[in-house]
Amino acid sequence: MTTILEVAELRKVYSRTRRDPVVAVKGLDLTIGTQGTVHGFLGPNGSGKTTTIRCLLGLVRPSSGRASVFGENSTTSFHKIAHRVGAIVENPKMFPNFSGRKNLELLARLAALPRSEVDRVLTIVGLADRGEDSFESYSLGMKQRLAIAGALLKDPDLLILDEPANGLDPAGIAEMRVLIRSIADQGKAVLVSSHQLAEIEQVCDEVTIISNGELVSSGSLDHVRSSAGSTRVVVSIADRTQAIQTLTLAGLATEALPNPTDFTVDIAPSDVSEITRLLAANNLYLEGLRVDKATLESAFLNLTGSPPPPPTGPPPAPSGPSGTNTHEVNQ
Amino acid sequence: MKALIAAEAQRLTSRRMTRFFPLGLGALMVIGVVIAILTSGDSGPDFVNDIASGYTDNPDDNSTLVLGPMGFLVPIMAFVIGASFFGADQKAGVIEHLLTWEPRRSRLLLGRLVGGAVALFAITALLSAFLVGLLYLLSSTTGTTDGATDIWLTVLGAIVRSGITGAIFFVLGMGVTVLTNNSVASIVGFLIYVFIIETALLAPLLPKVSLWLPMQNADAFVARNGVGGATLFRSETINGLQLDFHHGWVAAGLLLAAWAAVAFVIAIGVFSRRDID
Repeated sequence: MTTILEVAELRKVYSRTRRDPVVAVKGLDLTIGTQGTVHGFLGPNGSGKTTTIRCLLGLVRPSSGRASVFGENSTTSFHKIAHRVGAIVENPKMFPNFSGRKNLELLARLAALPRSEVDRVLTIVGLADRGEDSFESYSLGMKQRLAIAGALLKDPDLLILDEPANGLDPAGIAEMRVLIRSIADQGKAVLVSSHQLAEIEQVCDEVTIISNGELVSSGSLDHVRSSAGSTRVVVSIADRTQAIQTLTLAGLATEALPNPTDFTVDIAPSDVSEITRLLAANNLYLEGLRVDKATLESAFLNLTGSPPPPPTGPPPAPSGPSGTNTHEVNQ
Repeated sequence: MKALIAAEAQRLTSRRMTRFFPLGLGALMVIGVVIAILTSGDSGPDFVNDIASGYTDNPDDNSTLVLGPMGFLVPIMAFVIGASFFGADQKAGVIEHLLTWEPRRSRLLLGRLVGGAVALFAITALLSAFLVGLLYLLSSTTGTTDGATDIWLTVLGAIVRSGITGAIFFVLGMGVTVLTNNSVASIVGFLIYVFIIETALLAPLLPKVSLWLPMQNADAFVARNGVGGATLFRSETINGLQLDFHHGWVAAGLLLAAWAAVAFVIAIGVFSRRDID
């Protein structure tokens, strides 16, 4: 079976006049081999996501290594498989003076597609009623949806979306999520790069996190979450000061919470019992302990060592305290 | 490829720059003719002898009144439109988007150039025809148009040559912008070249060199004049008339086409290897 998408030892160096060259991607490896999956592609700003996507689309020549799609080298032979790949790179790029429909019709003509395809994709993205309006009159969210309609025109086997949720309101983001999922459910592969980590988490089957042009973690969502290496535990105890001192002396990172009996401890998931042992050894007895289930956002933070990039659109609805999902642990 | 060319021609004509520039020139023409009509005395222009005589079969007559200014204005307009067509789309990311549909860069660039050149030919020819019409109106209002029906073919030839010049300078503008990757730099550089380098420096200081340069040849091609004078080059007798020139309007047109071809080939070579980001 042909691999859908493969990046092997990809390296891209941008030379700059009178300045040091910038290494955007440093030997990155990435593979998507399964149709019908949504693969999240995450990383802080400037981590090399868009450069990697551009290499995959044949827009940028790798300095070394290889980017291929459906077995074809993207640098030299992307034209052979372009009809199977729909893509949006960064912001929507259409002709402002044309209507949404006209923009899509021009693209359809390039690929000798019937006009009925334009109607089909306009309906999919919910723009059938606004198709005759000029592109420049569209909101950013509508522009984004039109760009996705353009990417869907070819009925691609692989959809590459770079920041598809940019500019969308919460309802639009939810629609986008459903749309992406439905595309994957039709047996197509989707690579989606996004800053909306909560959205990625809800729609992706697999995730790749890169930082500074290097692979940090890749695999299923659960695998990436657990690879973050630590989890956050909320401890409730009457003598909080003493307890914090005890755990800090044991080398654990702690942080007091507003509630006077609560504080957090960062610890590997397998070592949570160490907290109770250390405290009991000092005659300190817990009133409660709960483990914050690691989210993609916390994994991202741990793995990249940087805060997640600020979303450019409206923030996703909070899913719990500090954006984490929590569940109680039996005492 | 036909679909690509047609789409690019449509895209070019939808641009504000493509509409604004010709409309502005058209408005200036109207203003000029209105002023001429208002200030003309009883002896107004004779369309055939005063205005269109440069396009009769008399090669000795260097009168270029009908489309003379077009030999200067058309190159500037077409170059600016060509430069902005590529530069603005490159900056906005449209080129990048189109490459996800047509990844063969030489094909995409060829489609853009041909589609745009065809559109510029039509725009420039229409503009030239509009100018002819205005001057005809001027003559019929304040002078005479006697014999005008006999010279329509020669006037039509001038209009077509004007259109060809527009197409050629569109290719030059786009080609140069592919190289510079910056439409503003291309346009400013071209204006400096036109007004300072070719006109003010090379023409007086290096006349032999300037004979091969685009603006002088564009002027000669549109106006069906020769390029250069006998003092420098050759003098020939054609049809009993003494003619002084280095090369004629056909050679001037071919030279322009050669300039455009060079720009096109270099642009495709550069564009094919450049990172699009």
